[in-house]
Amino acid sequence: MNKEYDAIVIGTGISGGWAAKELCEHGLKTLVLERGRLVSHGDYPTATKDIWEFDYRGKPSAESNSKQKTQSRTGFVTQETTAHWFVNDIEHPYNETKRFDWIRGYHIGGRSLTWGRQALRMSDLDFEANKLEGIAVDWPIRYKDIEPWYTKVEKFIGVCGENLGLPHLPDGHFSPAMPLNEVEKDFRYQISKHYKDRYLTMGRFANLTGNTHHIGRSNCVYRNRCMRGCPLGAYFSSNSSTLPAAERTGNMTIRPYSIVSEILYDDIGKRATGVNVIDAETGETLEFSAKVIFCCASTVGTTSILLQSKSDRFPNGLGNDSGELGHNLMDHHFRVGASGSTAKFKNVPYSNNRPASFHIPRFRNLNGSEPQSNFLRGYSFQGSASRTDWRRAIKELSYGKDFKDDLLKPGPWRIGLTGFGECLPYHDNKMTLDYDKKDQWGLPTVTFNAEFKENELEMRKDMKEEAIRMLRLAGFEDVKGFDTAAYLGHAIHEMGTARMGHDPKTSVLNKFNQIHAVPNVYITDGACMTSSGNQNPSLTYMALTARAVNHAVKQFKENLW
Amino acid sequence: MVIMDRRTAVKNIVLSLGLVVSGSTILSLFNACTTDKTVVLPEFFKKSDMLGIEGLVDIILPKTSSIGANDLNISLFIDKMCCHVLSKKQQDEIRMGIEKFSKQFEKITNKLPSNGNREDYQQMIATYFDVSEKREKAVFQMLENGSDELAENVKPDYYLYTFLTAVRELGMLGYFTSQVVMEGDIEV
Repeated sequence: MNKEYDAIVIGTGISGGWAAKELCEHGLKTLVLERGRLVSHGDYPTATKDIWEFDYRGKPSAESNSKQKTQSRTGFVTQETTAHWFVNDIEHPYNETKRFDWIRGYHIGGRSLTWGRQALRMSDLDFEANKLEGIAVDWPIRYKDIEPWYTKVEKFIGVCGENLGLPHLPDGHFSPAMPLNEVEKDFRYQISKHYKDRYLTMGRFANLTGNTHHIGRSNCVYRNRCMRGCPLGAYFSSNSSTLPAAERTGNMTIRPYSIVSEILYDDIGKRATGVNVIDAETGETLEFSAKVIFCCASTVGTTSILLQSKSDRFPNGLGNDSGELGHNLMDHHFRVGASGSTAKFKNVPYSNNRPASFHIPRFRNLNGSEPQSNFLRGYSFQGSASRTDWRRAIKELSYGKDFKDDLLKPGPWRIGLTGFGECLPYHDNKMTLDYDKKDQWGLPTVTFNAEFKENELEMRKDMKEEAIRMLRLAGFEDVKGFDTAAYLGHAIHEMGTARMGHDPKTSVLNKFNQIHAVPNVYITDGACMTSSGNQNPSLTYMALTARAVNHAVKQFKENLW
Repeated sequence: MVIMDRRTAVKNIVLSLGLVVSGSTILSLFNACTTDKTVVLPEFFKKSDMLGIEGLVDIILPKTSSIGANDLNISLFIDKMCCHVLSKKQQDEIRMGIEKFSKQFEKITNKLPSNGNREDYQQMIATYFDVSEKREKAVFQMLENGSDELAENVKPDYYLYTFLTAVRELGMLGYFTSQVVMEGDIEV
């Protein structure tokens, strides 16, 4: 196997896939490394199974639960339908000074196979917030810097949705939105009637609708089984989209079972020269060299690699002059909101196969508005209305003919809203490496020490109250609020730990995602985030990756490395 | 029927577009049409207990103009779920629950569960399920709280309801997520 490449990409998830595609399409011979197993597009073993075809009707067995104890904290990823996309916690241990739910999958495509597919742009409300409030450090970019890259990404991945003309949730390049059902349409109307600054729109999802052709993919057929992998490629994943595009160039070499233990640094040239890899199956160590390295191993994976990459120049980890590497760990906080029911709309058509939810964009603390709260930043809501099924009777003691006949019919409508809130970047929310507890490959394990703090907890009170208020105003009955204990990691939007910034003394990456002192290493996954916004972050990772590759290719072609 | 058609349509689209799908995927597409008819013996409950579970689900989800739980061998499904899905603690509680159930059955009907007829099971279910809304809520609250803090004299009640509600819930799961029920093919 060739050991020298123009570029190396570490990781094949949503960011790594984009780095691979862009580098290869620009003509760079690129080695793409994935620590987990090979999954080709279409290798989705549960994709076409109906619920009765699973041994336990989708529920995880006690045996599988024992292997995925941490993954099962989500309550859904370890079901029979998707458990194979998530790690075995016994084989991949980590440590928690404070609880952190590190939910992940090691295989080609990573979590791009299982992501929530919500594709939301961040705005200058987000990029300017740290500076305006004097929190952490300023983002070194503004919306205008990333805007064309959002458009490029949206055109390629295919996003359906509705443009609203809101400055804080910028419009995008969308195919037709998926339909709201009648209850949701009514809720949308009620919100527009009661609030001049709140909107309900269909969520912006990376599922194909409309007439645009995407190579090797076809439109969504509303199976609502996206997380299992889609044989039609109807939603965007590395497997269905970016990796096949990279493959078509003939410039990609992809190597699964390749755990990067270290990025190699040359103190004389002051550049990274390559990576050390451990073959996950054989334990063999290998070295690959390249002119440019994109580290896209996911937030925690990437920062682990950097922390492990020690040299005389960087005794505390590659690029860690600031001491910020591993700090400012963030995640969105959610699982707070409300639900309600309605006795109306009994006879309208209903199907539960839509793989999308509605979205209520942020309405708190917008620029120019009066201070509305005792917390900074804001949150948005995601939700849906559906008719209840047989499970509505689980917590009853009913039985017999009438009970059975009733449950064979769709139940009353219920609607639910869940908030997604911004988490501030706190220096003391961090991950470190424990060299006393090593994994089976002899690599140090990660220790998490992070928690949501007062700002998030205050925000959650408002999220619950506002969800209840909106549902009541809209005429829903039996409205119940909920606020389930929130832990970092649970939203599977972990980010930060190698933040972008202007100053090498206080940040790890510059405005093009290069490590300040090692400019041929780019970090474009969630690790680079300077603040979290409230938007689902994957679209931003993809846009930053495409932008960073564009920068890297120019440097490469000018022979700067 | 709608679900079946959609599934078939998906397969046709995959195949007709000539998408690059691996051998194993194509195999799994076709496997999706097969039905497993293997005979299964109880793994968790004793054979005699299985008669009791059949008796219970026959009252909970009876055969009417539509099929009932026993038409779908739901008792075996319940057994499989108890064996492979429940935790060790849940399994222990179910075992204690079925013991208590047998005792109560004898007390109320003067018969062993294995000798009980439909009326006997009807009587058992009525005894424990025909309760006030307040009592129903209290039962589920007790189950949610778990057995750790319970007073000894309440524990038999806890185990009994653990067993009865597990049979009811797993029976519902097995019935309402079965192919025939989900495809609406349930007329007797």
